Amino acid sequence: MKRIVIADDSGTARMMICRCLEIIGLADAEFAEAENGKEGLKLVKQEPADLLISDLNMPIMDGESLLKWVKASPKLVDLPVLIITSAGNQAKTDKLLEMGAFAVLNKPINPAMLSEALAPLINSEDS
Amino acid sequence: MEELTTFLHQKTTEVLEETLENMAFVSIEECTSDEALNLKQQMLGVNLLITEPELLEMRLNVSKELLYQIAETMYTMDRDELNDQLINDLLAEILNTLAGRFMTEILPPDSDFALSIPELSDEEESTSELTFNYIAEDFPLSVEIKAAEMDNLNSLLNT
Repeated sequence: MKRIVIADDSGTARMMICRCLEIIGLADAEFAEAENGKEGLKLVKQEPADLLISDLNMPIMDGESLLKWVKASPKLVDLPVLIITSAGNQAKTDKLLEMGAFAVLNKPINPAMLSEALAPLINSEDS
Repeated sequence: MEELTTFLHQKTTEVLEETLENMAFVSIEECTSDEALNLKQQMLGVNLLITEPELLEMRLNVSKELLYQIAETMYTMDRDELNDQLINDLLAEILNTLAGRFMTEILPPDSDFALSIPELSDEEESTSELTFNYIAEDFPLSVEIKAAEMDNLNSLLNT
């Protein structure tokens, strides 16, 4: 994975996601950070990304709207979107997966959770 | 009311332990409000509203010194590299994570809930009957829960 865009209004959360990605072997990737969905969308439109990781609850544009925009764009439709949320439940997770999210994780995250969720992407790159 | 308080206290302790251990490798112990006050620490506070399924307010107060220690570990930064904005953001993210885990734990599976964005607050005196005190690494922290309609909350719980 060469470029990963991370959208979360919390700098602490973005830092934790970056650390987890580094720990699971993605330290060589470029991490581009956004404070809300609108900025995240701008970053994935500006330059191709291999993965978009987004919080759900953000000001200006939330993660669900960001996911909608990405999946509605012919250029971005294949971009895997991983949603990380503090307000998750199975019904919400199912809805986000139906909308095209690659995976949905609940906070607090740790490297093992990210590794398991991203394994299909990382393994498909290796093969 | 006592049964509800005990249930909420137990769930708060469980999710606070999980959140702080996962985020910062910090462990906690329950304590009394007097024990927390005796530590005489400067505290920082943050509030968050739970807007669905019932209106609740959750407040987290953490010793400023503890937040600096957590930030030094998490960010691998020296004390003089840290700033107030980073400390405030850390406090807000702890509460955001804590509130999400708390609601997941107290509500029946698959129940929907909604959280507001955390807001820092200087309010120092606790006005909630549901105030739970803890000590982490010798520093105090507390969690306060306020409900607009406590009876409504009671009926929603995963008890």
